[in-house]
Amino acid sequence: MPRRIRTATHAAVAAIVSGLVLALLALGIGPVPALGTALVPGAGVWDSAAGAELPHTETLALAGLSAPVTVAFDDNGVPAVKAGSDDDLFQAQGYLHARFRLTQLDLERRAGRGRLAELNGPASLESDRFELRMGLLRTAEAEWAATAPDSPAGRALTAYSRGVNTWISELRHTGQWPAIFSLTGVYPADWTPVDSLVVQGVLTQSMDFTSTPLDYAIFRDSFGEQRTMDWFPVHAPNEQRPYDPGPYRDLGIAPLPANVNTAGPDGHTAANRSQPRPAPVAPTGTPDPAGEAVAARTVLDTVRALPATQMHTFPDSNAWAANGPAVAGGNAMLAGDPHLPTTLPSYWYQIALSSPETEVTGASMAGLPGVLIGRNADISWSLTDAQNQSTVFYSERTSPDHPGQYYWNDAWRPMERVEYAIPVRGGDTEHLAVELTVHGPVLTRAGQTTSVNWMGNIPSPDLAVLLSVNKARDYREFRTALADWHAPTLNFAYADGGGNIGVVAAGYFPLTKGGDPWFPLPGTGEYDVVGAIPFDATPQSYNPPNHVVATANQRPVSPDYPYYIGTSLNAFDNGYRANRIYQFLENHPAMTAADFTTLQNDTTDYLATVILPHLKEALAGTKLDARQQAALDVLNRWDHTMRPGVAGGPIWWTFWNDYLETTFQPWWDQAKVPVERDRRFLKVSSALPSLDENLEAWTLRDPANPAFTSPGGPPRTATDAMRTAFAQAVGELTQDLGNDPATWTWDRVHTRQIPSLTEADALGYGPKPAEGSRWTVNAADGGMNSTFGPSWRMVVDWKAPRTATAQAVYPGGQSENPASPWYRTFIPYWWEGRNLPLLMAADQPASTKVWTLRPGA
Amino acid sequence: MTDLRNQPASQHEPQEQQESQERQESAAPAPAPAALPLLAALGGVTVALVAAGSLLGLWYLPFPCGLLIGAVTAARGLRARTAVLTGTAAALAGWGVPLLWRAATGEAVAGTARTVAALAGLPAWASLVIAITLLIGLVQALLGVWLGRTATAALRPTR
Repeated sequence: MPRRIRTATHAAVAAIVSGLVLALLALGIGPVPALGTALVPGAGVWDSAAGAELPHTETLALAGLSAPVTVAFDDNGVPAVKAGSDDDLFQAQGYLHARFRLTQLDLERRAGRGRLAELNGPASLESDRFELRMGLLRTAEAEWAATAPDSPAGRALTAYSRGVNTWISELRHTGQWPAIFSLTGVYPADWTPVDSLVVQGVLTQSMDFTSTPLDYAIFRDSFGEQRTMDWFPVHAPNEQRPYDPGPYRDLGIAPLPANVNTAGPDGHTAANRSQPRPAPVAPTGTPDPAGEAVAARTVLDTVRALPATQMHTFPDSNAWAANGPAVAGGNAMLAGDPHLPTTLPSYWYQIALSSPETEVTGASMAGLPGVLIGRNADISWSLTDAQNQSTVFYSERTSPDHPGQYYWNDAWRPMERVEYAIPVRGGDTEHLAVELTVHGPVLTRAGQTTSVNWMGNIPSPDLAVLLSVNKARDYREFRTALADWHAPTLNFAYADGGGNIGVVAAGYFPLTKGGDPWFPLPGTGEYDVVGAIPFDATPQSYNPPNHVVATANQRPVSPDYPYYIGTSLNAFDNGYRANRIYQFLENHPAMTAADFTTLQNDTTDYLATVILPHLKEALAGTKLDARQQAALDVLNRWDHTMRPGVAGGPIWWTFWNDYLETTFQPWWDQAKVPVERDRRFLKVSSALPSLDENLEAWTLRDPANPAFTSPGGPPRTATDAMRTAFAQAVGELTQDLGNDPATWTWDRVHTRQIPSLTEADALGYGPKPAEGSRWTVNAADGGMNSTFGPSWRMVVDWKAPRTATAQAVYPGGQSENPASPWYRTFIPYWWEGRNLPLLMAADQPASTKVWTLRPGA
Repeated sequence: MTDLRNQPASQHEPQEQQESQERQESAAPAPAPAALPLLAALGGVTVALVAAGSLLGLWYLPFPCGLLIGAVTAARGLRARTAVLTGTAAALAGWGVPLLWRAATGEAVAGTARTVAALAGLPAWASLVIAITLLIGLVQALLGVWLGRTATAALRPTR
């Protein structure tokens, strides 16, 4: 080959290869980001290192402030914000959230808006489709449209957004974005009040949306309705302690405002008065259990693929209060530990806020102004999930002769369509059409067109309520504010400096015209949601005569409560935590804050205390081998605590799960329950509260229940099943943990993990051996490697009006930057069960890190 | 063994002549002391350019700097190895210095590298992301050197 051609070819090849490599570095390919821009050492991801630096004393200019604001950080990064007005206060809070939690803000906003795939790529498409169908964005837009700009909530949201945007604007100039943005090249847009309301929607969904009716549909398809209701009844058969024992009043139905995610001529109007309940209507139409089961499986496939922070999974929160003789000093005390997915960063950002209008301290939530859980000068409050059924599924009647329509109230109606474009990083933009019926969005057309009426889709002025609660001075103001709280339905536990305590269940408890709302209901009009329980009739307790009140996701009322609020299947907790809490509170007079902290960290398994005597009795008449006898000896010495270093917990836990399996699995096998569709809630396990409750009740009171006899098997009793399960448990543990039962300690089988919100394993914490189980007060749920638990522990000890000491801790840190010293600050305290002082802004000691925020450009 | 460097070019054997010329280039002697100031200047300028450019987000500067090194060394008849070494030094120093400066001023370079590795789904080793960063600069510079030298050779008038 002539030299010129060869050298030219050589140069051309070099040019082409160079061009390709440079293009790859400039643009990225598929999931691989543009590494050139991302990794350039003077900018790109390396600039995010600045976000790991701790604040130092300085003056910063914030456009929009009306007067200077001071922000004093303590050594753990908790800021005390002092402002001259609420507007300035919430702008500063928005700025702080953005400074320390921008990734979290953007991820939560994207989750709710259905824009995660734009950042994460195709893996998040399913989540985006689901959320756009559900309509968190549509609801948030309606909420903002209904918020008067000059109202306290309108002003707070506007000021908060201004604060967030101040930091985003700074980052646009400095390029010091959190690493995830520089790496992907996808940067946050300006924050809007709608974004805050979308984040509120995500929290609402994670606490209030339930797919339980879909599980019911599958069980009904597998077992038939009778057995389904025998084993998953509305009222649990075991002994529970409601916090509102009655007497109750039937106050009729409170009408609901329009659900913004519906179509058609729905005529609900807002009204604050009760109406008589309509008489049940005779059912019409032909049920299609098989079609409903197919639809249920399809929707469950989607729901179970969602990130843990977007879906309600476990009933885990505690709050209790005591007053009078139950507390030392005779005033009142409150403890609260809401259980959520434990993540890094945490849901919570601790803050103390001070202005002439607001004095509050506690846990704020990234994305929202104000404090969600905490105390002010006069009152304190905490939250637990009410666990009621807030989601009603409808099987819509459709026909090939009426495409795009559904049958409702004797006529074919057009479905409304809303269209969305979903940008996908590394892929093509996807177009999604969402169909709406009068009940709500259509979630699937597989098997049976299924729509959902979810209370979270009714605009709820949560922020306005929250700001009022932040300012409330007594129980009357607290309760009055909560009357406007609609979703999620929560138990607000309360204690004040006047020595008063209480719990209020606030939010919508929807009621249907008729039918069994725990199954998908026909959508033809006879079973529509017609209203909710009037606020005055919701579960509540105020200064109970025994001086203690506790809410731990148990059914808050007894079976004679005149309204339907939910079933035993994955709605209410099985009551073991609540029973243990009441047991402790009622046996400890003159309790101190230290006692409350002890109870928050309690690892006693209540069910074990109830069942083990019966197990020992069952084993007394049998011949045990040496290892079984050694295991029984361990149980005889065991104190019923699920603690590291304590033998006994694994034997009990394995026994109980094997007992469940021995009893129920043959029935599951016979009915061919499609557990793979929802392993968490269809599989036989202790995660199904109904099964635990049944087995507990049968063991104690009905040991000859026919369920113990497997289909086609010889007659069996609870005693037989327990013996089998015990032998099986010892065999399994021998295989897993060795031959010596004395060494079978809980920490050998149980860990906790605090995963990163980004799902990057290395940015999380653990797994590490840990205490607790799903039934202990110090709860650890989500499997043997627990990822759910106390997301915030708080104890407030009121000494007198306007005088209290408070402590709190959460498993995380104030900064979301993994390279920051404040990333995991609180985890060691939380892990060891220690709380830190929760101070009002005025009580913060002098700080060496103070920002002065001045009005400026 | 035949010493190709000593063989005269023959117009009757053009291909052999060209091959011979290329061999002469690639096997050229180490840079004469006179070339060292040139290389030092070239290296210094490109390191400064690459480092300064990185501060401005000009991530692609190692490539044109490599191009320059390749072209100059080829034009001056210096060895390919010399060009590669100069380009490597320019890229590693040009991108390494800003990282070192960040670390020296207290920025959490290692922590950030670990974060990035974890977000990218890689083992969370700081050294891995730092190595990938330097590798990206290096690859660009070497591609530049390659293109610079081949383009210079292609553009050079036939003797």
